[in-house]
Amino acid sequence: MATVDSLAANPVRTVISTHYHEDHLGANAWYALRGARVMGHELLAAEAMRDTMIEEMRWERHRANPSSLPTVQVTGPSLVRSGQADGGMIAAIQKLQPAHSRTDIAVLIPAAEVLHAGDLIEVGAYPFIDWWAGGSLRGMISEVDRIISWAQGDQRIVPGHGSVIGAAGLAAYREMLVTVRDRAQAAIRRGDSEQEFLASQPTREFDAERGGEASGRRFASLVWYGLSRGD
Amino acid sequence: MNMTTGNSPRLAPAPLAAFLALCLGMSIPAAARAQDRVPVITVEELADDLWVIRDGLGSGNVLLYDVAGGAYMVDAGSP
Repeated sequence: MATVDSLAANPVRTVISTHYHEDHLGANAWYALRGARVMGHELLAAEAMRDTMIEEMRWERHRANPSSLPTVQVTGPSLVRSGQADGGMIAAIQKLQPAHSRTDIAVLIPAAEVLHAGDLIEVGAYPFIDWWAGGSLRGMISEVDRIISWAQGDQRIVPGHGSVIGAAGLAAYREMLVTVRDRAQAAIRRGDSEQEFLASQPTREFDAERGGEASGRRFASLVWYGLSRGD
Repeated sequence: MNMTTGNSPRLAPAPLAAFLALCLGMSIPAAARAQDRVPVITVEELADDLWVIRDGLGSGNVLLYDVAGGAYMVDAGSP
């Protein structure tokens, strides 16, 4: 927040949340209480307010601070305009199909050809597929394909975590998703167990740039969890 | 513009996710991601008055766009 204050000459009037996870909207309340509107997927509040224990991940989901929830719900493609006399477009919001979660949106800043994709895309680490909030690997690949079709030039993609990428980075990310998916699907068709699948090191060529072997194993296990349940 | 502030040593991967989850109130998935990164704050200017702010410690990337009448953020990250 101090960094934001040091950069922006104007107060923050609008916060757009790409999905419901706390590491993306935890500071919403700070801005909302200072008068900012918060925009997010129409299902964001429902997911953020669940208080559940995800046994498989030993992950206890706590309710979000109600002040961090959207005051403007995104129900479809939306344009955000400056409100100034010229009425210029600031951002275009696109609701995504269930991918990282069922609360995903992407935000395009047209003037700069910059897209914030949220956790649909991760750089330097494997993505998390939030099966427990309606996530889908199939949806992730489909939405990454949609972004690839847009980013054929100098467009830049801001991932949820990691460094900004372009077309080459997108292609590499898609290749990783598809390769691990294909290996998991083949293993399921063969009747392999999860342990056999993990022993085959299905993320081996991607581990070096995505956090190492242990991270690859976690991601492979996550992929297995969803695909073996029908995603 | 690139600006880097702060730094801290990396810990062994196994206990770090639990440590971050416990101490910083992160979810386990966020903490698991965080352990794979060196925790530093980086600011990159993508265009005039448009920045991406990364903290490397499990908080999501913040896109900040400062326009007349009020700034816009895509994701606010964690406090």
